[in-house]
Amino acid sequence: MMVGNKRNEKISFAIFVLPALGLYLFFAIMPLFQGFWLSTTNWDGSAPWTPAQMPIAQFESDILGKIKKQSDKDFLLKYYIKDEGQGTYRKLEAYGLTRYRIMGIFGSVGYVNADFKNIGLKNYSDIFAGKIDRRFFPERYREARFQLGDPIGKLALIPRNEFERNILPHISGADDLAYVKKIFSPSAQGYALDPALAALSEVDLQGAIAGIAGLENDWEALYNDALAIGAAGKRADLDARIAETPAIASRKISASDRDIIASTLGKAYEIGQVKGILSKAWYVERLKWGVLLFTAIFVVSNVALVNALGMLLALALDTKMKTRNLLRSIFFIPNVLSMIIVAFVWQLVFRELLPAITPIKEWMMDPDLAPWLTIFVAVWQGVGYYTVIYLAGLQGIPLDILESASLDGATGSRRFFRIVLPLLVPAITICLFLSISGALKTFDIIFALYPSNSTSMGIDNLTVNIFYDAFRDKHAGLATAKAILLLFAIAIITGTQLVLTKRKEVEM
Amino acid sequence: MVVWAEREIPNYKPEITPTLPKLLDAFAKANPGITIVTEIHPNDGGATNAAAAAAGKLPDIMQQPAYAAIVENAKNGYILDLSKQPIMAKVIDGAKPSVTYNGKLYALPMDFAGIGIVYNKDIFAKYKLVAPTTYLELQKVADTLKKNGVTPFAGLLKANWSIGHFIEMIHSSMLGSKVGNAGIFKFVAQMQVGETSFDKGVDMAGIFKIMDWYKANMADNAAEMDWNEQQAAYIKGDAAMMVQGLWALPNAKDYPDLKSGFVPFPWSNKAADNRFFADVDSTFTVSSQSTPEKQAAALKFINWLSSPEAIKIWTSDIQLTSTFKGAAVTSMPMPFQELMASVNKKGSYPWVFSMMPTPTFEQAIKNGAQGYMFGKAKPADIVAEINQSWKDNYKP
Repeated sequence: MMVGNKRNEKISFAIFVLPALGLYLFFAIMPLFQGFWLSTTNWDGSAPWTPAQMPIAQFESDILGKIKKQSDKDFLLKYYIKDEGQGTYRKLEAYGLTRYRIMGIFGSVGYVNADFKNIGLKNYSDIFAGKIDRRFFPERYREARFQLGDPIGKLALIPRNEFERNILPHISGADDLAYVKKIFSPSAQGYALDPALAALSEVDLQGAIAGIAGLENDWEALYNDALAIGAAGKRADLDARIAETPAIASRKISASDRDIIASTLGKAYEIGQVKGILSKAWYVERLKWGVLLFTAIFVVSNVALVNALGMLLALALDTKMKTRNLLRSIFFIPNVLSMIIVAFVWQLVFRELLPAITPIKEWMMDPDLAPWLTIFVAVWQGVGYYTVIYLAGLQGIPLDILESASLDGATGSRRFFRIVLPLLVPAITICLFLSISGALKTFDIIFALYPSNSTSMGIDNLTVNIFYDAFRDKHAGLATAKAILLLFAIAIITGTQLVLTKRKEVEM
Repeated sequence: MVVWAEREIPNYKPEITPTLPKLLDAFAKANPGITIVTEIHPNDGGATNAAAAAAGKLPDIMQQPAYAAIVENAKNGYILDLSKQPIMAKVIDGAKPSVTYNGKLYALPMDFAGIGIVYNKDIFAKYKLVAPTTYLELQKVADTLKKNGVTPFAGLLKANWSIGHFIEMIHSSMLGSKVGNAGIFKFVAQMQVGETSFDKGVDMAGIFKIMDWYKANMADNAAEMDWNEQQAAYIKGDAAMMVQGLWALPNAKDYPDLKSGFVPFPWSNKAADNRFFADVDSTFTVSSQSTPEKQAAALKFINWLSSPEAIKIWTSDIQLTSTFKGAAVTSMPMPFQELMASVNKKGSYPWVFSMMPTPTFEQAIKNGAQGYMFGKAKPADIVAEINQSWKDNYKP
């Protein structure tokens, strides 16, 4: 009997385990090594590993002439054809292992492509030294609330909180502060700009001097200088600037037109003064999360929410209510949907529905809301999956234990924390593992919800950043180095989590 | 028999998705045995091409933007030198620099496109407005429209490419008005080696002021508007203008009653400075990885494109201008005629965004400009990133 078992083991090893191992080596381990190798190169993601074309004479002398084995020469000439019309040898489609053999042959004759060469661990050292895109790291910045090109009408009424928190404390000079307090009056709705100033139209002002005969070539510079002098707060300079304008100095312009010019530029000066102060003072100090911090916040929020909500839903569904099966299906459906569909549906909700039924008119493209919307959609889509696992965990708890606990007087929260939760730890272990690794690898939800604008919105997580590095910004070597580091981060974080939660598991 | 259906023509111009098949079908009908399949890669066509090229699986024919994309592919050896193809003699000389690398022509320039203001002529007539020729006139037009409850500009801020075009249009125009187009090409060469800065010789603060004004004249939800929303706002008449290329002009066959005009964006108060931001847009290239049979079929298609039938489909159905000598625009909608008339009379500013390394446009320019519109990027940081990216990504 023993002999038979051993033979069966050998057969099953040969039939099932060996092929699986082979596939694992081919599809999991080999790409890992290939990834590490690419991460030590300066590859931009598009440069050919071996020449796509090479002049005929150069190919024959530098490559064919130096290959020692005839079989290598024959192999190479199957993929490189001589194209007299182009004057080159050009490479036909070649992929898979063929590419590596071709590369080996080129390597054997000393061919080096400057756009695809080994640079050691430079990509890794650049990441750790911070010598990569500044969007990768958290950064403080000032979000401007008023720009020089904004219309003065935007200042007509500023909400009280905004004015007192984000403007007044930022005005440094006493003169400027006194001026701002003079032109803005507090009211129940906020701070109102002097109506005479708020009603000024820059278009009308420019129009008033643009048509003055003799000033055709000077009016724009004069107007812009009046704005700039106003921003600097030097009233006397404006009079000097007007007086030294040749057309005005030479008295070619009539007295009445000169009055129009002085009056108009006086108003432009005031606009310049208000805009100059407000464009510098009205801002909010913010923190750009950067790729790293956003990834961390996304993962922590996502993991916490899908597990907490998943467990709560499981507890709610672990009852004898008639609709429990229907509710289980409803909660699980989002998980079955493709993320592209999920993103499409939520885009409609955020863009069409919510602005119509809430006072907030901009949801998706509000940089403050965007990170939380992606987290919300990720949680909405993922929670049903974890609910099912927790439900299975709950249903695996023997009824006799729960009944004994009830007889002993353990009810409500006491029963949950003392009996149910310890027995749920195996489910928690697997849910934490899946949710942490899943959140760290999230790509599709951000890419689908924010195609082509996640970078500007500051919601590129690590995987999206890696994708853009490789395919948009053409730093494939650097992107691969980041991917390798992400792999290790996932292994370390989930490994630690497994060790910690396994210790808490209770044997029954 | 040549079977030519394994790969597709990747096409980065989604607006011609419905009409391009007509061109391919006409070719296939005239050349039995050759089949062409298309595939659309809007906006990330460059990334798709790069990945396919590196994997050794390029399609036989590619539609690609001119200048940098051609240079990068030619330098990598991925596309064929088309200099000796008979069709090249039929291309207007002015279009050839956009497809030239090391003195050879690596692509067939197909259309000359301009970016400016597409405006609704009926709305302008209703409020007695005329097409603006100076910045002050443009501001007056916008004020009048707003007073009458019409949004001046249909925005498109949700995606980053349109505002990337906008900042480039103003920058190149300001620079070109001072140093001429030869000066622009010199600027590009100097940027590649870090010998000048993006803000040198232009009023950078003025550019950002125009961007502020542009945003202030869009609808409140412009940040939520993408291509479809911009098109809808313009077609419905909610907005009277859009700053776009003529690829955004609603197809005349679908909207026969919509009368549009096209003028250069008047960023300056000197009317002579305001010219179209126009250049060669799309090109066709042929993969170097194709078999000789497929390559021959691809070149047959390339050379067929100057036939009267192909030019007619290209200009009438696909609604793009043609870069072939003698190809008239008189049968095209009025905005195309306005574009070509203005370019012939006043000249144009070239598309610097097509000449810079593609990552610089994709990341530093597009995301920088979009970040500024969202209040998340400072002008000084944007300029610094453009300088650094241009120098780092230029590979001679």
